[in-house]
Amino acid sequence: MKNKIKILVAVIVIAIIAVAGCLNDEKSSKNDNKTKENVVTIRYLSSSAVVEPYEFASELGYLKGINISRLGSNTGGPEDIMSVATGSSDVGHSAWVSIINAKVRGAEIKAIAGPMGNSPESWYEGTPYLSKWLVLENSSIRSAKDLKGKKIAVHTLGAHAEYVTREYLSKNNMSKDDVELLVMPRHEEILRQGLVDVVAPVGAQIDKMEAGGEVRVLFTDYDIIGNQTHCGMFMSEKFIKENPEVVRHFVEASAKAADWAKDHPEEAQELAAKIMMAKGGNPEMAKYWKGFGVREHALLLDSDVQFWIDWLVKDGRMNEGQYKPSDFYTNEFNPFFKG
Amino acid sequence: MLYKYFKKSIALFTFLIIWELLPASGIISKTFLSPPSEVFQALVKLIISGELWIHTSISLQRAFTGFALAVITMIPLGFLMGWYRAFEEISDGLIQAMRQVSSLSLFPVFLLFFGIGEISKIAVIFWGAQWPLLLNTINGVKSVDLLLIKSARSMGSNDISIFRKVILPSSIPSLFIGLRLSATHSILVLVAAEMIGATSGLGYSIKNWEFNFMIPEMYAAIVVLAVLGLITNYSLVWIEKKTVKWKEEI
Repeated sequence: MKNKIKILVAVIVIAIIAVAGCLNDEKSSKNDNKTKENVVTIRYLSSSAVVEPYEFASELGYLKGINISRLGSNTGGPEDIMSVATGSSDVGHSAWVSIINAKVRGAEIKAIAGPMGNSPESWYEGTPYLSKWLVLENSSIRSAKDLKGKKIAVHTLGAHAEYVTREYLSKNNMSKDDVELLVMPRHEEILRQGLVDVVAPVGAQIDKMEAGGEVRVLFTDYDIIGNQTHCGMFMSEKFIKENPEVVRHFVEASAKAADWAKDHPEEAQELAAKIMMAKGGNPEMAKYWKGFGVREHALLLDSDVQFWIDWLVKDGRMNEGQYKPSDFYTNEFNPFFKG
Repeated sequence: MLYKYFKKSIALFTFLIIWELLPASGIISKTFLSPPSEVFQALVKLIISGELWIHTSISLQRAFTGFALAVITMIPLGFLMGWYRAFEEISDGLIQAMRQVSSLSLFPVFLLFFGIGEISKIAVIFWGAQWPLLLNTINGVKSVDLLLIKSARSMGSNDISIFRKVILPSSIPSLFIGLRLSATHSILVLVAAEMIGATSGLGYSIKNWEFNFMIPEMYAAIVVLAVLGLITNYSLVWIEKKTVKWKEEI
């Protein structure tokens, strides 16, 4: 019996060593790849429904000595953050509230540029938006007070859609307890079937729903938060510290690509569609791309981040004055930044 | 006795130690895999604040209702199908096809029928919980020794007393396998059912805490679920022992 226990212990110890060994091997071989031939590979996750400024940069030939490699799709910002913070990928993008929550909880990441936002200057038609809050044409909901007790579907809680909804409610002297915020996929279906009263779809889903008719916009995030770069493009602090020059060049190329897209809307839309299609995207969706919506040179502002810090303070998730915007982002790698 | 418990807990403790060491050694990021010590702290905090109880009680309500519905409908149906061959032959095709359909893939259909709310969640749980019960009940009835039935009949017993004295007692072991599988299954399905369109419950909390990077809290909820599953399983084992003992006494 005792022998058996000894064997068991030995097997477990060997297993741990083997696993640890494999993990180390993987890390060292990865680093070897980076130094070889002076080409750095930057890995990322990205869904086929979005385009990243660095994907533009790569297509436009702005990236010198950097090879970008898409590992696959992600389900949203939180997954992207986990992947970058644990070193599975190198760059990601997410709504600020997730970046802040993750960093406060110990994820060592920092935003270095704006990947998408609500700046009218780099938006091709009408006012920019990430999300629109849609109701059915014949719905009785016309203003905030009609939302009392109604069901609002969002893709994720604790992110952009939840806090913009709450900002809208609080501007109208209501709180999230007055409505039912639900996590639901397939917004078009559930709204048209009458399962929920309001949906908050993102990006091209909105165009598809509006093209289908019989829906009405209650409000957009631009109505509520105005000209904000509502997402951050981030990297792990370890990667930034080890490769400052790579990061500088990467940000510069991304900024130039965003500026190019702003100045060449038609070509940019074609390029965006091409990139989405290469990622296996839906051709119907690809034609709706309306620009990055970032500020000139993809620069970030304190006010982009402060809005979300204020909400998390209100929610008791952090103390007033405990964190400042510069804890979560920096423009120092952006050569266009004049501090 | 003590040695038995020691033996049983070796694997569990080794698992806990590895879990504690992996994030501490830095092999895996501590931010995303909280060590058990932190999970325990989060658990205590959630218990004190009462938040855990709110979510656990609503989850238990859902799981229990779905499970109870499955018990009420599927055990009688199982006996019918096991006993009346014609009935089984007619319904077998439909049931075999239906049981291949995962309860989660049916969620949109349930939403369509029952809307967002308790009923659609309970329906998903019921769907998942019914199959092990039904199939094991049928099995139990079919495995009754034919000789016993024949001899009871030759002694002049009618169908009702054959059912009470022969079929019911000898199908109990198989019935309990069905009950255990079905009860633990209802907890497993529950979690997934609560991840869509819910505002409370353990499944909802796991997703919500994950999105908000409250990772120790997330693992605490997962631990609570595992414990609930264990308690359910062992209570049924205990009840089974009592029942079988009673059966042996007659």
